[in-house]
Amino acid sequence: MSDRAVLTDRGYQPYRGPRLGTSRAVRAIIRDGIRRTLGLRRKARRKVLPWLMIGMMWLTMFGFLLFIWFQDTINVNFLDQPYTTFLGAVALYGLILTSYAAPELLVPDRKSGALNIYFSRPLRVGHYLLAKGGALAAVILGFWIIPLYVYHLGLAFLSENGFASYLGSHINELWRIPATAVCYLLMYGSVALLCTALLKRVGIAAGACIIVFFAFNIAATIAMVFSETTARWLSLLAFEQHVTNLRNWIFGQEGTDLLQRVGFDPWVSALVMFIVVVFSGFLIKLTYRKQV
Amino acid sequence: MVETIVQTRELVKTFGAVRALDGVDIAVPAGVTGLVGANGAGKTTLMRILLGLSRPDRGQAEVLGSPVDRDPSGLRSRLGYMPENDCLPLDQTAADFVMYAAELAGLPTSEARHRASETLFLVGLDEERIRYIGDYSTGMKQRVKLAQAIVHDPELALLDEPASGLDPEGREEMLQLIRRLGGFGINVLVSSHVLSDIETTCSWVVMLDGGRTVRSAPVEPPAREDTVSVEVFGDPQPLARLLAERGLETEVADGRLTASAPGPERESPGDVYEMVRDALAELEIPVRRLGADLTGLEEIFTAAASSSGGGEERPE
Repeated sequence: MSDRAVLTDRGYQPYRGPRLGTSRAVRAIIRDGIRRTLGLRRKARRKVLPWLMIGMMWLTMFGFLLFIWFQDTINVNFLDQPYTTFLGAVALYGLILTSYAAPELLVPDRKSGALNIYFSRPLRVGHYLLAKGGALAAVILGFWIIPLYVYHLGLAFLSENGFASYLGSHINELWRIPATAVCYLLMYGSVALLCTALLKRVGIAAGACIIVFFAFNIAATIAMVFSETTARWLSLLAFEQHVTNLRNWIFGQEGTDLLQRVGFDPWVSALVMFIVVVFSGFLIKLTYRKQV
Repeated sequence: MVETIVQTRELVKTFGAVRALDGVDIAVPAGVTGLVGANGAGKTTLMRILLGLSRPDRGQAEVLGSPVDRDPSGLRSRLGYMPENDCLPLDQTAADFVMYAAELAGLPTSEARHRASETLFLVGLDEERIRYIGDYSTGMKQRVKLAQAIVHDPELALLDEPASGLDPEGREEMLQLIRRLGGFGINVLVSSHVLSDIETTCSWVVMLDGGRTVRSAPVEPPAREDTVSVEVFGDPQPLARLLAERGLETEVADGRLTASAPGPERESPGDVYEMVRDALAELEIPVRRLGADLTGLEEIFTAAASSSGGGEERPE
């Protein structure tokens, strides 16, 4: 050590800076939630599932664009509904990501006992849940909206009528894309949160959410063969059908076969979505009120 | 800084048939205060009420001069809390988690990062702060828990059994850290069921037993100048007889002799300490211990709990 070096005890420095209260805490939870969901600043294995789904989404999107680019060469033109067809192809990725993200946001805090720390800060249960919901919304909306807008631009580039002309004639897609993304977020997210409120492990809650979406879909389809009344009731719980119904309605297309056959218009799907959102919000708040 | 940092009046809290707090009435001064009691005495329940996380069935609680039910969120930004149970996310690094804890208390990001680094250094986690908490030992996890409780420079830190699960060396290090907090101007309310921890760490003690306050007073009981306690090798009775003959009041219990000057109605025969010393020399009795009549916390707790009396004092 140099003879001119000085050892200094920094001691304890009291904090004199600003304290931004609840708003700062909520923002911190949202940022941490986004990181947690995407596995950022976590071990590598935490990144696998979310980034696999995001990667599959983008790969599918570029695959569709490539296909559209070559469709004249191979003389196949089945992509007359490029948006809904693409959304149908990637819906499963969105479902898996949402089913994983919702429990990943909430379960570890409950399991590790970290809620004790959250609620010893200037936060209430409502703030906490709102912030977690914000993190889920940021991830899921980003998952849907960003590649869909890129897809939209890709379609414009490949359009025979020219880039600007396509954008001009498809101006409605600019609101249809986020509107559809919100429907996917609300329907998938609510059911995933419902499973999260009832189950204690991330994997089990995610699996249960996926099963709920598929099981009622399949049950309603099978019931259609035997009894239209049973199928009608089961269709109310076929959440996948309802979100598809709303998506098609937003893009100005017909509803799903099943819901058309049982006579459910898009407003029924909207009502089902509203009820699921309210019920899941109520149940999850009740769960946390009991815990804190 | 307020003189009395915690004040409760007739706090009652029940969980079903269990009465966790039964009329707790304390006033805690600034500094490092111990909250002692056996498991189930109501320590954690009291802390949760002080944090505004749990509502009392009856009674009032004030922390840092504010009723806890008036603005719990605002009050909590001035408090730090170290829970007894597990509360750490194992898949995060200590640096990230403590910074996050600072942001949850309302600190801006850059300040939170700076404070997290400083606080982890303070609790002895410098190089290790970028490791995942899941890879830490129990002692290191306790340090992270302490760091998150003080990272935002609270006016009062509520530490629930901070030395729990630590080996003797780790326990002593943790107690040293807590003692230092008092020097930094952070008031501390630390709970423990180990009386010696409180005795060596705190200046004030609140004793709970079965949800009742059995004592709220300074840790060091005032030594009585006119009373001397002596332990000898062998039988203390000859010494007791001699001192009684010379006008002192004596009492022998558990092999220990306590000699004191008679009450104010009688004239004191002289300096009690010198009289005991002279008697010991005269009888040539070997001495094990001779000193002022200081009573340990354990004895106070046992006596207070058995009489179930309220030994509450108010800070001056």
